[in-house]
Amino acid sequence: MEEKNRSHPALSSHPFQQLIQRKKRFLIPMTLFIMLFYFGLPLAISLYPTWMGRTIPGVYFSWAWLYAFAQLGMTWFVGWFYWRKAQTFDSLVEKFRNELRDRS
Amino acid sequence: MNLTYFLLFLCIVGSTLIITHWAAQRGQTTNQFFIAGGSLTGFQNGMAIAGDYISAASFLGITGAIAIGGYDGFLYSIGFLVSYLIVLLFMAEPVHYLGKYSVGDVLCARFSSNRIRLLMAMGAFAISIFYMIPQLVASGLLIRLLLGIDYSISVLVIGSLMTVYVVFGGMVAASWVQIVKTVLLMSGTFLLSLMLLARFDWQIPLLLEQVVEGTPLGEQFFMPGNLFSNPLEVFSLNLTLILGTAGLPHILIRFFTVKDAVAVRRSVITASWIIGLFYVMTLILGLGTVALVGWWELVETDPTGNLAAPLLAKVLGGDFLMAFIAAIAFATIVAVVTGLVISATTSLAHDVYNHILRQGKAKEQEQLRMAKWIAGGIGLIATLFSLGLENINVAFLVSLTFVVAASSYFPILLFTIYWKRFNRQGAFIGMMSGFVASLGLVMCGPHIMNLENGWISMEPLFPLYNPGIIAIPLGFIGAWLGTLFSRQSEDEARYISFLVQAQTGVKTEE
Repeated sequence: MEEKNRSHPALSSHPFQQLIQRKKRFLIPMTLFIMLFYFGLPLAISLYPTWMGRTIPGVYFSWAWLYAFAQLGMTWFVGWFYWRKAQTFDSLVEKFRNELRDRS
Repeated sequence: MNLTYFLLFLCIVGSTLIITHWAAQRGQTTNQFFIAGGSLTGFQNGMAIAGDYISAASFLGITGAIAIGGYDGFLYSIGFLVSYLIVLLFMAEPVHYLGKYSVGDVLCARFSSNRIRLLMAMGAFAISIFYMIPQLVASGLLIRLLLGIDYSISVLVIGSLMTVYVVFGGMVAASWVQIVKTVLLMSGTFLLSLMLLARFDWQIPLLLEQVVEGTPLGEQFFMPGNLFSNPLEVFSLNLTLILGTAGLPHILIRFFTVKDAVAVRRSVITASWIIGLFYVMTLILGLGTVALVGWWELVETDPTGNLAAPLLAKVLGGDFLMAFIAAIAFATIVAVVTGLVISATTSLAHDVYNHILRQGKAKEQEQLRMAKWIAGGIGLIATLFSLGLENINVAFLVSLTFVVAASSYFPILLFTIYWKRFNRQGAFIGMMSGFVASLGLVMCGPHIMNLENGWISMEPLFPLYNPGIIAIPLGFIGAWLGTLFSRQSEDEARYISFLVQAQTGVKTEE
């Protein structure tokens, strides 16, 4: 019985709680952004086909193509952004590991 | 078949067999067989993921789709690429931390239940086989078209190659075959793109002017709406594509082949760069085909447009370049089916044989021997099936794969990793509802029920080719309702140690 009542070390670990908080704060808005940006393309081409088909002044392709290429840029940008962000996650994980090691 | 073709094919077959021989000598353990000992670097694994993912359907199919449908062809590429963000943000690291060899391990880290493991194994097996058969059939048809070799011979050659790689070299051989394929494919398409642009003096407007001449669509070629007229269909396809990749077992198991989270991240980001740049090149090649080969000749040679890239190569560099591109297409197919054999083998050998039949107590040598027999069996059966399907249209299986992955595998993986209240009943019902819905809706859809050349000649009961927009929500709702109505509560302490393991990789046993 005693075992059941003992709480998990992660519950009282500050770095771990912070990690979960920060991941949430990053993931939720980022996912919303990706979904809006991604589904914006099929929405825009079906709702405003003539507008999207118009050629951009000075360039030889249309808004529909620009938006499509922007999806590639968006993917690479979010990948890079996550790569940077994950380094702060990693340092929290490292702190949490050290805490566990000190405790045992 | 002339000598050039023969020599190029021999080069590819020879070098991949050398890789397999080297892999077989690197020691035979289950760890090596299933996950290459976790020894790949992030960059290598990224190339292998790209090699696993870019199928002949991407290389030949998308080039053809762009040549025929213009703008709409490019929409496929975007969905295939952006889906890697879902993999990166939600799946890759937790899967790496939670599993050992298979996706079943990931769920069992939370719910240790043989029923769930069996379900995941069957799902992985079904997805891999659904994907493998159309690839084998397509490759047989393609090689017949390109080289005039008999359908059964080409299916037999590809079928035995994939089996040999996996049986003798396991994941090590599979990974390196995929890496070699990625290098070949990227350099081949890059070369072709450069030759094409040089032909137009690096003036893209000149190329675009020529494109308008080469297609019956004229200016309309650059506008959306040539392939998909129904907005619902576009939306459904986009939804399936973005969520599908994160539910493909043969991609997910690749995250076990590296040693830490940094390498996992690097592999997904590398793969997204390779795949993105590749799709830019297929766009250039698609445009080039319209400009130099022309729509009429393309469709006359093969109405599906699959021969766009080889035909373009012939115009640009003559017979040798065409042979080179055909050899690359061959390597592409072989690498993809090899990854699928590994994934199907893992689900049967690791999940079903070792964990369910032997309660996880099979000896190392027994597991390895069984895995090899299973790999051989899967290779044989898939090849035999494909031999019999020469005249049957099985292309719909590819879209079925993505729908099944997005509506059954993806929802329950996501809930398992992120939803505290989720339970095994929810996992069971979610998996079943997503699977049955996608299968049923594809069966009732225009792929199967079609007045012209359908398997069942009648008006389709369900109007969309791609049922993702219905099937994916059904998978999620099934998992959610199953959880709410079962009233089964999972052990809280166990969830916390699961969460810790999923987010940090630290194993804490209560």
